[in-house]
Amino acid sequence: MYGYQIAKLLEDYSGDASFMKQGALYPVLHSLENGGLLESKVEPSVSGPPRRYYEITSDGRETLVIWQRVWKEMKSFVDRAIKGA
Amino acid sequence: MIKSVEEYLDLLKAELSGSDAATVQDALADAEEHLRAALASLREAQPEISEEELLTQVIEQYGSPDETASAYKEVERRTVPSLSRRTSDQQDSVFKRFLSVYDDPKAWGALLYMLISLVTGIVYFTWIVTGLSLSLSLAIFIFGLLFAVFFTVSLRGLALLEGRIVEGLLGVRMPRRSLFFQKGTTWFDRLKTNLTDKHVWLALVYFFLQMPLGVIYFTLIVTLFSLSIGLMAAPLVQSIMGFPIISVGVMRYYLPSWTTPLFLLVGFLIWTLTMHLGRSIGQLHARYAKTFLVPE
Repeated sequence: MYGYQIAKLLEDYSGDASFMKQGALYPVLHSLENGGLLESKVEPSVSGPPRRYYEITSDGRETLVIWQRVWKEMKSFVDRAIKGA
Repeated sequence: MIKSVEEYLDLLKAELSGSDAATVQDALADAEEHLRAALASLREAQPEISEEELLTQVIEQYGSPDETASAYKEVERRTVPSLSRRTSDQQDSVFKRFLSVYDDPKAWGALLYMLISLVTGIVYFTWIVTGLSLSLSLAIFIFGLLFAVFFTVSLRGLALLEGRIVEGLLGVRMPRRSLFFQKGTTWFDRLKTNLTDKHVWLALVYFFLQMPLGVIYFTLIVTLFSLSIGLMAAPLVQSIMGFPIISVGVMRYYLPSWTTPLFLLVGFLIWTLTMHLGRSIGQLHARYAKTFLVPE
């Protein structure tokens, strides 16, 4: 997917509660790519400048699994804390 | 109200003034790609709405120039530069600081850069000479214009590639995105834009000088490391294999055994000093590359 597609997808997921501007997505993509979690390639486009398509790497998939586990633990902790309060 | 993508890019550039030149180039390339892709998509979905209103919608979602600039500044602030490490403390002893070069990825990266710069220098030089010769000799034909455009655009591509090598091995932030040409501009306009772009000429000079620099770097590193290895290995080879250190005709000269530690020490000193020299040259080269390959 290229940047605009990713931004639209995030917008669809977030619904009315947009948590970030689309422009803030790109420096994060740079950062992930620099860390080897994403790779990108440029392809020509018929309707504008060439587009950069991003793809998750195997390191990215492994990191995603870790992040998902951390997120679940964090969510579970916060849920328990709120119920306890 | 912002009326065009170009105006947005100018405002974004102004907001990012003072930031790293490589960050500015990346931010401009990302913004241009996104805004044009979003505009094309909205134009298709809502053909009745004027271009200015569509752009306002796109910017509303993408973020104003100051919001976008803040996002880049924030991520750059939090991103650890590649090859960074704890710098030697002033309190560390001179001996420790002298040896700390072995623990510095920038020193090893610089040595690798100096070795491969011979190959990259030859490739760049060959392409520059071939491209310039063909561009000038084919200028009388129509397709000569196409080749000249291709050659000048290739310089931008080469600048991006060299930037990635410099960032990867010398640890200095370089652009990750190349600037685009606006869709619809004619071949002649593209050539005119490139020929009047100071950055293209600076890149040309940089690639031209890469071959002599590559030869100097390679020769320097190989000579100093060979000398160092030779000095360290000579007493060992002599004692294990019985080879003399110097052989002139029938005369053979052997090292007295007490000089072995001296040879090892001098060889090690030359190796370490070469590492320091390589790191310093790498840092100087990175600054020079940034000046010549990244537009201000």
